[in-house]
Formats: sequence, C-alpha cells, structure tokens
Amino acid sequence: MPDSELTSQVFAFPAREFPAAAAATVSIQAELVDRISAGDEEAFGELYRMYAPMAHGIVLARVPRNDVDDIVQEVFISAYENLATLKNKDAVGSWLAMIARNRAAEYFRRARPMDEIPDEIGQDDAERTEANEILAAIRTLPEAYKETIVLRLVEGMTGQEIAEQTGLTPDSVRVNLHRGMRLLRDKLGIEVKR
Amino acid sequence: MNEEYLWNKKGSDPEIEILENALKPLRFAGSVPPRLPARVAERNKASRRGFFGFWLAPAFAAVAVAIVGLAVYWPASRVTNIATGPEDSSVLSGKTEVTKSEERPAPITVPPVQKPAPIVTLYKVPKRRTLRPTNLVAVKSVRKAPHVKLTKEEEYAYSQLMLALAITSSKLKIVKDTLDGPDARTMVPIKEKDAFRK
Repeated sequence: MPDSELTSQVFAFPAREFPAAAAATVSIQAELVDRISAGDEEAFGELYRMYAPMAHGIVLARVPRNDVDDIVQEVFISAYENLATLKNKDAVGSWLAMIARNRAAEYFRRARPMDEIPDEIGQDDAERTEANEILAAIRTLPEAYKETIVLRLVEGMTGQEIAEQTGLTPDSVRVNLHRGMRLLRDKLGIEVKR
Repeated sequence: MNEEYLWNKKGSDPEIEILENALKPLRFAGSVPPRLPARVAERNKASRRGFFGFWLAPAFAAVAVAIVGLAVYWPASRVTNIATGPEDSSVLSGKTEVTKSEERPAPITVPPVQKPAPIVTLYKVPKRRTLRPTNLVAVKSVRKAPHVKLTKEEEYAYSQLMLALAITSSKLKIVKDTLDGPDARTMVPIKEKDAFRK
C-alpha cells in the first residue's frame, strides 16, 4: 500500500463542509456596507429590508409595541451615521442587533415617568389582544430567551437565520429556543389555569 | 414539542403553530426605510480617506511653511551676524577699559551702541535683503485667516500644523546657534564678570 494512501486512511478527517450560503451572505453584507459608505441609498434600503425584521423583533421583545417602529427607524439611522466605526463589515448583522438592544435600553432610560397606555386600547380585534397577552408572557422570560423566541415566533425566522443575523452561534440559538419555549409553555399554561 | 419544527420549520408542531398564528399581527409589516440626511453620506465618504488621507495635507502644509520660514529666517540671521560681529567686539573691548579705571563698576552696563544704522553703511547689505519684507508679508497674510469657521477636523489639523511649526522653529534655532556660535551681544566678557564679583 503506498504511503499516501495509508496516510489518507489513518488520518481520515471528515470532509469539512463549507457553508456556501453563509459565505454568500457574508460577501453580500460586506458589499452592501461598501455601497452604503459610498452614499448608495438603494443599498441602504436593501440592508433595511434584510435586517429590519431582526431589529424589530429585538426591540419588540423589550419595548411597548407603539414605539417599536420609531425605534427601529432610529436604529438604522444611527447605524448609517456610525457606519465608519464598523470594523468588520461581515458582522453588520450582529452590529445592528447590538444597536437595537442599546436603543431599547436607552428608551427606558430616557422614558419620562408616566403611565404606559396598554397596547390593547383602541384595538377591538380579539386576535391582537391574544397576541399582546402572549407577548406579555414572552417579555417575562429571561433576556436571552425572549429575544430568540420573538424572532422565531413573531418574525417567523428559522434558527439558522436567527444565528446568522444576530451573530449568535447556532448552538446558543438552539438552546435559547428550547429553554425559552419550555418556559413560555409553562407560563401560558399557568395563566390558563388561573 | 417538535424540536425540528422549532429549529427550521420542518415537520409540524400544533402547539408552536398556534403561537405563531396568534403572534402574526405583531410581525414586522415592512415599512419604508428611513430617509437619510445627505450630510451624513458626505461625512461617511470623507471618513474613508483613512490615516494617510487625514495627515497628508497638514503634513505637506507644515513642510511648505517650514521651507518658507527657513527661506526668510536664514538669510536674515546671517546678515545680522555679519553686521554686528566686529562692532560688538569693539564696544565690549572699550567697555572693559572703562571698568578697569573705576573702583566699583556698575553691575551690568548695556553697551551704548546698539543701533545697526552705522553698520549698514560699513557693510553693504546684499540685494536679497530687500526681498525680506515681501516674504514676511506673505507669511503674515497666511496668518490672517482665523475668522473662517473651521470644522473639528480642520481645527485639529490647524493645531497640529501650529505644533509642527513651533517644533521646526526651535530646531532651526538650534541649528543656527550651532552654526553661528553663541551670540556675542548676549555674552558678558570674563573680565567684566570678575570686576562685578569684586
């Protein structure tokens, strides 16, 4: 048996699968950032369409629903203004997620002491009321779980998409989804029993 | 709970599907991207010049001003040194004689002749000296620009330029002193020093 063949049998490493889809996404991200830096508003629109649901989900998990759209807009304007500070163009998703989290936290810092108007007011639709109740239950979950659960259940993203867009590892997302769903089911079950 | 459905929506899980359907009204509706200010786009473009783009212009300006300063300062200093040398030595020698005759000399006497007017008549100043005022005017005109409103970057570049000029000027002074030797006018003769101590 030739040496090379023997070596290949002894060191039989599994063929590493290169995530082609992820690589393509990465290059698209970098290209988008370059175009936006050059002043291309259309590219900014593409970035917005790509990441707005993610930013929306992250903000919705924390902030009253009526203010979510405004904060999402603020997130993207802030990102545009500070685009020069972005070091890794491929990580624009996780950078946007971080801005969204910071903006949501800032919302509570700058919020004036006033009674919050419940989301249900002005909405006769029973579906919306039900949605708000479930959302309220999700918001009581730990920080890491509620964000992932909102992105999965509200925004309809898959686990892989959540990982790619937020910069979390797929394993973390999987764990967050599993534990978050278990806690949510318990909470909703408790509410039903009461 | 169907883990596969929770992860990538493959298969089915009635419980999760119910939650998804209930939460659908809260989903991102797809709004128009925010309108961007043009000023920010310009700033983003400018900020991409990088380190060299930012420093190159002030560095060139500093070098240019240093060369102009050198061209003005160097000939002027040489002319004054040539002119004041012999005169000062004669003055100082005369002074020492005076102090010898007195018992208690004045602590420090300023040399009586300081004006270079007669010296100019003794030594013909080369024609290039007449160029100095025009050069100085040019330098002054450069300084008369602060009323222009500067951006932060420009203000920073201006301060760096001033610093570079100050450093260049001090270095030139050192070079000049090294080449010309110490200025005779600022020196006190040894004999005079001894007399003062007594």
